[in-house]
Amino acid sequence: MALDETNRTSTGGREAVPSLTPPQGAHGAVRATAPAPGRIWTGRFMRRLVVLIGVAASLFWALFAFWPEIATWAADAQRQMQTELARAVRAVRAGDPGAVSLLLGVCFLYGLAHAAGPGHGKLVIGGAAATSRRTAWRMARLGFAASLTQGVSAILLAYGALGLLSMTGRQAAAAGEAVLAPLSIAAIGLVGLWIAWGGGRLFLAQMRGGAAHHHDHDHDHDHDHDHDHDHSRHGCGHDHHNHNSGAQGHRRQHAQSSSGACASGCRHGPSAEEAESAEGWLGAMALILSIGARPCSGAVIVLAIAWNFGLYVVGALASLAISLGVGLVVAAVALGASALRDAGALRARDEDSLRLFALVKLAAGLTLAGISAAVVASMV
Amino acid sequence: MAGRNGHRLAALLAALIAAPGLAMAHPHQFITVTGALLLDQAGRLDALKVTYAMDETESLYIASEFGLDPDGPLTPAQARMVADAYVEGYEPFGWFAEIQEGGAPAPVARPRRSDARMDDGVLSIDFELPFAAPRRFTAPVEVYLYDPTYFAAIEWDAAPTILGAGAERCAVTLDRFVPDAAADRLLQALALIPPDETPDDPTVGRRFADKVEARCGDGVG
Repeated sequence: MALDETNRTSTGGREAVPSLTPPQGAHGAVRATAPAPGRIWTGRFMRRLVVLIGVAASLFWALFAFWPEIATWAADAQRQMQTELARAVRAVRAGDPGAVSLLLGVCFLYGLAHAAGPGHGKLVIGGAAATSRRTAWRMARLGFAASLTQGVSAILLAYGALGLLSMTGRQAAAAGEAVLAPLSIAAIGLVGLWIAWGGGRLFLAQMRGGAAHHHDHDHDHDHDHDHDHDHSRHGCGHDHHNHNSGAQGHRRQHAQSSSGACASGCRHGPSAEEAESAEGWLGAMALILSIGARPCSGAVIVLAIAWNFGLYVVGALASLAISLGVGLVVAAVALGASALRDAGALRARDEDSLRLFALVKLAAGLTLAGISAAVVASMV
Repeated sequence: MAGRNGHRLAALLAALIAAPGLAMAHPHQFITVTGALLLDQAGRLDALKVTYAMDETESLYIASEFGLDPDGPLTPAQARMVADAYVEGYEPFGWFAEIQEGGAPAPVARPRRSDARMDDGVLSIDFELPFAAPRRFTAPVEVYLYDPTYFAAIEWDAAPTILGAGAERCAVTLDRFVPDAAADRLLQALALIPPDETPDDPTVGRRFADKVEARCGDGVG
């Protein structure tokens, strides 16, 4: 990205916030004339905001309107799958040929049916994907990993409770709800606050006009960084960027460079990178914890049955197969939410998009945190 | 927002985040009932005989917990053990039976002739619920079988029969529970309750019960 030298002016001996050229290069992306502080509610911005609110309201209305049908369908499908699952376990126990494959297939389908109903994982990953700059596939992988974590936590819970604490399967499931559900809900609240925090900081940065100095370094890090940027052209002395150091090094260095005023006296203000910190490893861990810490109770019961019959390995595989089915649905939700985000052009780097993106993050994060708080309050 | 929609919205929002999956939802078990009303030699209503057939998942779970062969059959000792366990376990819930004669409660005593069996992956429990005192059966008798906490959903397979002296003068009708909008909303709320918790209304299961009505007399049959 390059500075538009023609816009550089001098004000009282300090450099004004420079404006940047239109998208260029592999990173695409940055442009913009900083709006005067307080002059952000442009007509174009408002039109996009109204459309976004309309789309969000329509989606929520559809969910609200079809909620009874969705819940009933999911419950019926899950009950049918549970019956098939019980038959498959009996077939495994009887030593029927191909019974293990049948059981795993049924478990996978059970996972799909289980995840098709309402659940916290889809809400969290949907909110995170819609408010992230990560690629759709990266968010899908994150959701998938969280679901697999859920399968592993079910194994640890069930086998630990039955093997070490001599609990029954139902006691194990209840213990999981008593201990792990609050943990999961609290993590959801943290994810929400994190997203809202990022949105709030980004919005403030836009309000102050500091965001005009965004560097577009928040691209997905799936690819190599064997390319160079000459940030010295920004006039901020960013020659310390070394993209050959890989994703971590890149992010670390950029965090340092975005911490506020730098040596050359340029004011960064809260940067997009900082504001989107929920996309960092800590945010990803919180997201995985919020989804994965709370095992599927159906999986716990299957594991308990398997444990009682001595089918330890088969039980563990069954739990993973369930989480595989769940993971596909959660990943699909992540893809869908990312698609909606991209359809709204929220990842664009023009000023309108940045402000809109900040508001969406703020609203989505506060919604997640609010629901989490309401559920916690109902539990107390 | 109106109260009705408010409850629905609350259920939706809570379910989006609170439901770890409907496997945890009330009800957790599904019981299918067959049965008969038993008349004594004098034509009085003496007992309600029921067979509670568990769903296959519950049957398998119980088999695994009790060390039973889920494909059956049970040994006599196993059958005794399981039957006794269920009779004892259901006692706090009145063995899931609420019976009225002429609108007044018709109390029952402890079950007799209990037994259990496992057929093709389905565990069934049989017992007779004797009335505390035989009923003259001069007024219509209503039978509601339900788990008050709705942990288990109970459904009649078919209308019960009437057996014994004078049964030919009697008739039975079964009115199945038909969900309405209010019941749907209640079900959505119940779907959020973990298995170790009891709904706010401890007799909420009554709301979903089938109604059996039996009449005996000259005008019947």
